[in-house]
Amino acid sequence: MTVTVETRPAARGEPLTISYVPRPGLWGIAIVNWLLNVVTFTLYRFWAKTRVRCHIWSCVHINGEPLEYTGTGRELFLGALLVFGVLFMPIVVLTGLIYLTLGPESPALAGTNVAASLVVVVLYGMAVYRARRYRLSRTLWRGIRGTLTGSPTRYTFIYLAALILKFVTFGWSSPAMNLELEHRIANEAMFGTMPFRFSGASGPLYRRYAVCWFTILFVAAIIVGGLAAAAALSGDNLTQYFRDFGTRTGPAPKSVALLGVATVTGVLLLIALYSLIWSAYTARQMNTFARYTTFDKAGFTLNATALSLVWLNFGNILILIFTLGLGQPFAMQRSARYFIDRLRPEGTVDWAAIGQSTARIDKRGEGLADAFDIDIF
Amino acid sequence: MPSTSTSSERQTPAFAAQLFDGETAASHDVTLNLMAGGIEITDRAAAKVRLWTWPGLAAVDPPLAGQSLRLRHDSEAGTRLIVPAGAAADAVLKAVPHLARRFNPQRLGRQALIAAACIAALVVIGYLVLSFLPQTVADVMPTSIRQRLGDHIEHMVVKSYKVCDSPAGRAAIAVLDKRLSESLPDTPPFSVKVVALPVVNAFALPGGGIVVSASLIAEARRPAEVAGVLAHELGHVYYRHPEAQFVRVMGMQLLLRLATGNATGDTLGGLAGLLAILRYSRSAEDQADAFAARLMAQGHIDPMGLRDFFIRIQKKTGEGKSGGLLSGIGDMFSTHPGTSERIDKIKPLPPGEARPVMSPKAFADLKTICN
Repeated sequence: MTVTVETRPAARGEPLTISYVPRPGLWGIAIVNWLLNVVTFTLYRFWAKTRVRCHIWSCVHINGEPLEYTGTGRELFLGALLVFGVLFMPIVVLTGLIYLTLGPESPALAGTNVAASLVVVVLYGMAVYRARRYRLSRTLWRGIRGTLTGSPTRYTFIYLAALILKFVTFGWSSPAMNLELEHRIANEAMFGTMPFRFSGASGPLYRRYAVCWFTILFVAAIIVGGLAAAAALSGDNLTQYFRDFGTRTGPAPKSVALLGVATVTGVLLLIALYSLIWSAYTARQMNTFARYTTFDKAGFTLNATALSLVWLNFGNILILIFTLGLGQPFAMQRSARYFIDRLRPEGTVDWAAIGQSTARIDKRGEGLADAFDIDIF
Repeated sequence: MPSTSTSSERQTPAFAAQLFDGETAASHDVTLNLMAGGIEITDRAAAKVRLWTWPGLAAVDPPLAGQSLRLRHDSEAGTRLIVPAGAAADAVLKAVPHLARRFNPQRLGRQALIAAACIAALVVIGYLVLSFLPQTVADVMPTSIRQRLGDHIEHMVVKSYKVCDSPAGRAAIAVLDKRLSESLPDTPPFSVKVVALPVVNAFALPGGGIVVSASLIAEARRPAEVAGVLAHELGHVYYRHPEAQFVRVMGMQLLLRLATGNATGDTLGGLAGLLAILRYSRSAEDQADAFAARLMAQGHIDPMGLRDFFIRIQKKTGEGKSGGLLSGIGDMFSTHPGTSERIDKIKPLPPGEARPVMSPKAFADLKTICN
């Protein structure tokens, strides 16, 4: 029996720690951003977003040293301008010309509209990848940059293929496809010269996926059945009620308003129920993906749960609605904190072995991400 | 603080700090000496001494009491100097007051500049899209496109309402058409349709179509009133105001998208709604009024008909009732402030100049076109 003694790595590595240390100043940023967004018809949002990112990045401490965000509003603005000029302007002009020359009922117009929607679907993966690449390349820690070294085009194709596959398999390929996408993007991510590693199988995700999938089906069946039963029981009354809608002698306005409120409440409850059930899967997937990720000799444990995820997203929506958008930076901070507070790194990193990244840096920001609104950051 | 150094340049004692050189993620222990011109950073292990001069020095994040100070310097983009909280950070902040300033006039100025540039860009683009481009595009728009547009908008607006038609009524409209066309050499080609809309209204469409509501015909007491209304609408047709309005609406949608970055949604979907929200500008109405005055003078149509009708409708709509569903679409009865002024501008023809527009019989036929 041989005993290996690993003295060197243990001596050189440093245990990895990560924490969120809030700083004062977010209120000031939020108020100034909000006011400037209002007077500029939200055109200021690129600079606003940059200031919030600077603040939140500086609150994320890794081994006691905060991250630094070096992106600028100008880069984001130019990125968005490029996407508008190259992509959306031509689509709008083309649609307008077809409308004017061939008429509103022309099949060419319908074709162009479908094509324009497809562009959004096809380029969504591109937006995700490029946004992540831009943010990584503008993230500095101890003066070292992050990068994403892969090809956005390849990721875009895989993203589209995954989307189609998920659709034709009624969602059942989602765990495998999500894993494949995360596998791509995580293995192509680097901090300086040190790559992130991601490996693992999608098998363990399927049990939870099946539970959520069948729960949704079961709940849907109950709701549809319940509605059908209610319709059958009330019989002619209900039919008459809806028939009356079109006529002037229909139901009193009070009853119409009641029906409206009931419908909206019902739809909101359904959305809440749906996201609650799926959050059980999303939490499991987030935790699994964290476990599959390593950096040097450090691994990660994430403790995301269904209820806390729902509360995170629901809370963010409430903040945005009740502060009329002023609370946006705080919603962003909540999302960042959620992840970081629940993330526990284990193991060591040999910082001295990590050199500065030599990858090419994007000149412009994430234009597609702004147009598609891919996430809260 | 008493100086422990013998050097004449040295102002404070040496402090220990950390340096990240931007080449590796390793931390370097360094010694700081505050000099007259900047911070001297000595890295013993690497045997390297740097001087970071005061002017190029900046804080990475705004300094906070009790937290270490993070500094960078213009001369080395990726290098970061971490000065520990306490005596060291205090000494640096004392030596370089601009680091500690919470109120940063430079940043505020930059923000104001960006915001001003955004607003200026919106104003310029807004002027182009809302004022300059619409009329320019309308003027060069080919007739086939104008007509197609007109048909489409007519279809959207008129929708399920009945189009009034009777042989005698049609003949009466033809008389009116002929009279108006012959009044001025530059009367544009046009066609009149009477539609059973529930409001007293008339509006011009792209391509020369004019829709007159049956209620308007019913409200009119003499032929000159209807002729005056049509003369005004012909002014809009002549100057291509409906076409310009259409381009304006499309441009506004585009502008809204540019500003908010919203890429999804149908471009032309909200057209009908937006058309109803917008009104012709005051200057466009004045143009149409002037055209109508010229046409009526040349064609010997009594302008007092238009004036009487105007006053009667203003009284009606002025009594707290809104103009109705179509009050915005290029109609002439919108009750905005300038209406009285516009009425005052209508002057009678010299005595004996005015001639009847149509026979009492033809007018009666027109009045019963919807029966």
